[in-house]
Amino acid sequence: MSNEALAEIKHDVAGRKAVFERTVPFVQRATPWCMGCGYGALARAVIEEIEALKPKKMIATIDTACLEFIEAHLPCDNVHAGHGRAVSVARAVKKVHPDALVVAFQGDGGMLNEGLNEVMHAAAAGESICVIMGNNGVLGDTGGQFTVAAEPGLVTSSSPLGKNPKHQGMPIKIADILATFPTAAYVARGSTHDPAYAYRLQKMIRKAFQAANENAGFVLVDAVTTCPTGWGMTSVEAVRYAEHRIEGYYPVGVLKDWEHGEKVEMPSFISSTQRVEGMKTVPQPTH
Amino acid sequence: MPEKLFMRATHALTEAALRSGCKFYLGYPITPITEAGEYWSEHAEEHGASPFMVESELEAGAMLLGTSASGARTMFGGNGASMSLIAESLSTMAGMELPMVLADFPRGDGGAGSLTMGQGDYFQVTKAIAQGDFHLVTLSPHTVQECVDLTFDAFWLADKFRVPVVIMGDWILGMSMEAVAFPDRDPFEGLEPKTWALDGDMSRPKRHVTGGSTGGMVTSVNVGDVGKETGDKRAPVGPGERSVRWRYDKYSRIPRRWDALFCDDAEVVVASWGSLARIVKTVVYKLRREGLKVGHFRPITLYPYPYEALGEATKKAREVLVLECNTGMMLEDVKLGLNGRLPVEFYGRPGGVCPTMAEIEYEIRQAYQKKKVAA
Repeated sequence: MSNEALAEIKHDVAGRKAVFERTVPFVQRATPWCMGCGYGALARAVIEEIEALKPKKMIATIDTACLEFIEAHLPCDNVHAGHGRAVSVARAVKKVHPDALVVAFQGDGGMLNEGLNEVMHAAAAGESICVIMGNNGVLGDTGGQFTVAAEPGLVTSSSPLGKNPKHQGMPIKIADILATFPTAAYVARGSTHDPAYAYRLQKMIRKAFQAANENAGFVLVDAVTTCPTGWGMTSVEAVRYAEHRIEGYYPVGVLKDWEHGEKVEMPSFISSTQRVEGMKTVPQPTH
Repeated sequence: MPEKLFMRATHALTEAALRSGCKFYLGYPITPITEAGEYWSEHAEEHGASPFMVESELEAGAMLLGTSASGARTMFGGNGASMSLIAESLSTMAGMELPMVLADFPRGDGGAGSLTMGQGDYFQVTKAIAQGDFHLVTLSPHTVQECVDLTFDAFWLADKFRVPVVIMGDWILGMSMEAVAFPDRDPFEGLEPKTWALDGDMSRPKRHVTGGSTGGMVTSVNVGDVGKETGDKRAPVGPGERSVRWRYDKYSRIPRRWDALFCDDAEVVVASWGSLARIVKTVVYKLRREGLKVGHFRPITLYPYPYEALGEATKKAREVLVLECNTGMMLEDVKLGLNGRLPVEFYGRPGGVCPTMAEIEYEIRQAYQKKKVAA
């Protein structure tokens, strides 16, 4: 985005103070998502935080699904990953460019259905990447079929009577799981359904970017978003349903906090050979 | 004279990769290429490469994409099963024009595969590894020394043409130890810097790596809008078609390689590839000493196949005999290359069996005598 474009947007009208401005990429290009989709608010928060942080080097990896449309709006280098593979691609990018801020964008279908083992491995490895999960419970790109993240009862095209846990399983709360990993630096869950919540989410993204930029360890932000199209609802109904989601399975909040300067320490180790050599006696069973 | 070392093929290949400036080995332990990963773990850091070991093949596919898109030389090691597991990523990466090297040492037969010699993965690697209109450039070594030389070539070709390149060995080669010499080569000779690769630099316009058909692909080329001529009733050429045509144009420019033995005056040309070719060549030498006009043709690039060279090698021949450890896969390429010009006989042992020298000798003699009678 050019400074001229910014100046044009920020022109002062009769001394009035702007309380809200559209993020420049969304002025230059229309939002690629459906009406009422939470990804617009998520993308806005992400872009504003990139602009605020001003990382010297940044690379984004983008999973195949609705969230992939963020690619046109991101101001940084990016690579398109196969469905479910964005976190692994981000790990690989980070290994080549350890000094860059590497952010993976992935939906809940990509992360929980298709790439669950990959995000677990990345977190266990303490890879200093920031993973942003857009969590709306549906595979929006293909017309809104339920994902693992969908809570029981969600009516979608592949669960017309509501997602039945008996047949279709229970949601996996990945943020809660990964927050227990000692190699995770910062894990948080926010929501986009309401401006106040979106503001809180943006603060989480800010911290997530800072932590990843300082190579603190694995970082995850679970962004609970709305998908009126996939849920078969109006935008207003979708906001109501999102409230139900954050009151039920996906309470917002910081699950693992991080402060500047904190870093995940990988444990030192003694090799098994040395360990055995150092053992004077073989421990015997006590009973 | 470079130092000679006695090495296992998988170790030699890995050492050659390290000397080629490869920074990542992304492979899951699987016989007969397990030792490549072990060798890598031990020696990677001596060459400034990453000792990282990938958790699974699906992740290996994704990480090939990430490391290659970031500009690093990267390689994969596996057998047919591993190739199947990374196939989806390969399709994506071929579309993205990402360079990488894949060492594939198949086993006998499919599924988990028998722990024996087999060549049943020929179609998988050369024709149809995954969805989409693309091929993997495939190099086929038949000695440990050739493994080394082709590894250097593979990295160079991959970077030069921005394509995935396979080094397709087999069970016998994977288990072989031989004396090898490492050439003193500049692995980056004549290559341009990867200005398309991602480095995250925020001070320049952003770069984007994606498949051709999804638009905005990273490539400096434009093969021209074929459909733009006036009066042309063809559908306009979109970015998808342009990228596929560009890809095939590259394949056409990749140099074909082959190894023709006694083909100048051969009445019967025997065609085989990989380790089997080595056994067949021994028999061909023996029959030549007896005065039989037998030749041997071995493709080194299985894709793109050296069709023209095959035509040249069979100029004097009256019959071609194809020998393989499968039910006839390269046979189809030989038939394509000859296009009905000569009769083609086939002898194959599928399902994890490698024919013996006596068996091969019998088949060649049969083909040769039949020719004599027919003549």
